[in-house]
Amino acid sequence: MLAKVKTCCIYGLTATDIEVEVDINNGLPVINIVGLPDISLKESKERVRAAISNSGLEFPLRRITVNLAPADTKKEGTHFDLPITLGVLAASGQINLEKFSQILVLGELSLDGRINRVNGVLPMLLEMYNMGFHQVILPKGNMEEAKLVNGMECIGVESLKELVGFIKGEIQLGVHRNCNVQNWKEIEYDLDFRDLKGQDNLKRGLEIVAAGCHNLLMIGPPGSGKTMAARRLPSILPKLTMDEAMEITKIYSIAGLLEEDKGLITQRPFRSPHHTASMVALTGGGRIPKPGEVSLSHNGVLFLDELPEFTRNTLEVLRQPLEDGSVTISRVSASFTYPAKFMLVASMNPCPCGYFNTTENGYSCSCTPQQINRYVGKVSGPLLDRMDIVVETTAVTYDELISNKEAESSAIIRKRVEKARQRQLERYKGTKFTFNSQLNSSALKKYCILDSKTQNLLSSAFEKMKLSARGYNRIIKISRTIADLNDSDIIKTDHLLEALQYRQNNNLMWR
Amino acid sequence: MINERNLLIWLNHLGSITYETILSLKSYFGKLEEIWYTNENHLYHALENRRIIAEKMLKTRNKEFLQKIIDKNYQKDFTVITIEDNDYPQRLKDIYNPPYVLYVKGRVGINFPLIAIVGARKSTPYGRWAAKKFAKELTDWDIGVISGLALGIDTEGHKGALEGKGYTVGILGCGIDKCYPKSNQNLYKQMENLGTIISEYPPGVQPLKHHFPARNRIISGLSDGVVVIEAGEKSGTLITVEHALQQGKDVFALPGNINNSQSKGTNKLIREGAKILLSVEDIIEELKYKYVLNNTKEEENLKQDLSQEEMKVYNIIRENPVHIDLISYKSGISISEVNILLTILELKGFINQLPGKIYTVSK
Repeated sequence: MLAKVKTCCIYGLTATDIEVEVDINNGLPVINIVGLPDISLKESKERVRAAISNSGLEFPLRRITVNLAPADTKKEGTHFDLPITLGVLAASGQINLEKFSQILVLGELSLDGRINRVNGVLPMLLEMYNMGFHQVILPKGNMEEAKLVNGMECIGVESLKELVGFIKGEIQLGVHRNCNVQNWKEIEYDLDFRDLKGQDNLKRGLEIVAAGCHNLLMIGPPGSGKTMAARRLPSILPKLTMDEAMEITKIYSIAGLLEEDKGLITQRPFRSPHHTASMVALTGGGRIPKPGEVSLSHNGVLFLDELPEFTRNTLEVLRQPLEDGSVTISRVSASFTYPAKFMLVASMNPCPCGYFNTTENGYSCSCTPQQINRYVGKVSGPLLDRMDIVVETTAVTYDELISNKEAESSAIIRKRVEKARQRQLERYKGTKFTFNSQLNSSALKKYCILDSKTQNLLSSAFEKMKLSARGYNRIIKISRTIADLNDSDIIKTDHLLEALQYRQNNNLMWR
Repeated sequence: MINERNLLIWLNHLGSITYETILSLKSYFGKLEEIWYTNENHLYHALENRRIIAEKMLKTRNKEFLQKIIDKNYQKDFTVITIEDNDYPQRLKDIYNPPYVLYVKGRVGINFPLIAIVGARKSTPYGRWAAKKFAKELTDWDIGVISGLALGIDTEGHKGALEGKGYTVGILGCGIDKCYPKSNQNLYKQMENLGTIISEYPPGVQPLKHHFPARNRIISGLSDGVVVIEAGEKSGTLITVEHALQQGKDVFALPGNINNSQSKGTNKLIREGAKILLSVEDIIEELKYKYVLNNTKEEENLKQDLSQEEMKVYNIIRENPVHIDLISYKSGISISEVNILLTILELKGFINQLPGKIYTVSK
């Protein structure tokens, strides 16, 4: 007898529907799965067998053939367990699936018949909903994320027994449809900029990058508060929009990083991979690639502490995502594109010992010029060129440390940042841009209007400070963000003057 | 009437009595006043083999004569300072054989940096130009110029200082009431009003040949450094250099054409280790350790060029190369304002950025 169950499979961020066909025939008792399954899928037959017999059902001792159609694409994932099981049960006449011909089935089985949560549910369901599937049976553990798909009828099940009871009409299961997204709660941050004394320049730099989604490089001696400041960056980032939150949640769903009881991710990601991270860890990889750190920090922050300690190859792969806002991983079968619009924040010491150019408190650098060159040279010019803001920090003086000067709290800074982002969203409505940092040179001309006085100033600064063409655009973009922070429609002289201080100094000795 | 001060004036009037002699008389008698009352034998004994001096003293040791010179000395247009007075310049006390009586016209009391600009009377246009230029530039830093009021380099030095509205001191080789050379009458008058004229010779003394080398010790003694503009190989200027070296003063020499006889002396000085003078900063560099020097002219220009806030930031940077956070902390200006001010200062060319976001004044 033949039975068919609908399910789906994820490819990158998109999904296709898959039909699981199960045929039971006379012959030696065996299960064959065909249609290019991968190892995790092939192993599924053992789970199916055990789960069926442990749930008080009968596993047919005949020749079982499972086909995954279309049969020419490779399939991966453990969520095929449940559709195969249902197929086997239907084909052996234990259940009737006529009523459920258009329902999607996803889920991984335990040997005792429990149904475990699977990865990638959100992007799959979003895609399937658009393709016309409006009902889904899925593990209870995935309910929170499934609920995010507006209009989808979600049936959460905990065990195979429960599911069979439901199909037979013996048990009623809650059907969730059109669930509103949970309320956005004010996120509480345990790290606050109020605790960071001194380092005003660094704080201002972080405020600007947070407002315009620019990249930032911090250079300074150990203990000057670089990491401390970076860890506080999420607390001043603006709230996510619904679209952004969906994008992030989709990626996290595929990566299997969603927490069970939380659906939508409402906080901007802050990823700080260790410097031993490999190239693949950053970009994503696998036969069907999983998102890497650059995608996991989409719409958020990728923080690379101790930048020169990363291998050079690892850093070089950052160039494409920084430029395009997405990362494309090519495989023989297909190429996969994940979004990767992140804000790169990096920190480094000026030299291996860390105290180059530090004279306070009796520190002095003990590195040879060659050592410094080698250390700094690990960060390539092209990568450095993509750093919009360079902040050089110094050790905090004792005076600053004990001073009673009240530092601004994150909440106050965040308010300014949010206002600036709001201005950008309104200005770039209907365009492909969201932030000032994304503007290309033609958009710069349109959106970054300088009055004649400012234009003159810029041209003289261009000469005197020896800016490059890219540097020139960068300065305008940062000026635009500073103007947004100051609630100004046009870029004024003061905004430009401030932006010029954050440029990369060409004649820095460490370069 | 018979007191130490008047006796010093009397002895100075007699001429050729050095301060060393006076000190030995003092140690012999215990008190200087004793020489007025003591008998001949004692005096001869005290002065040992300096009979001529003793004879001179005995000859003029009467109240009428003393009265006459005292009267002569208390005229209104000059001041008399003896080594016992508070007004006496401290730095002259430190030199060998200091003048124990000074006749001063103009401003009394010297307590700020002075640079001697000296050179031969016979001078080239290059030397005169340089003397005037450096004198004028020194006044920008509130440094006075001291010289010998002679023709040539001396005159140009004084003129440069006066032109820069600065302070200048002239040391005479004749009585304070005499103007030598006569052609400098005008300069002499100007310096009387705006600067200081000093002589160790009593009024009425003629400009004798041997007075000039002697007055050179006062020029170098009063100065903080001696600038030799031009000197021939055997110029009298080199005597000033001798004095300066004995007194431990810095000697700067202006390099010149090796074919020019007037530059032979200075070039030789450079070879022997004098500091080469290429710009006024070479002098400032040395004086910096002794005085707090500010380029007042520059200050004025700055005030014109910079706003109050820019000035505030600039002054912080001027003290020491400093990191941007510290500028904000010290000035109390918010960081975004500081960034703006720093860019303005950078564009105006007043400051430079060093690696590590540290700022320093340019130059």
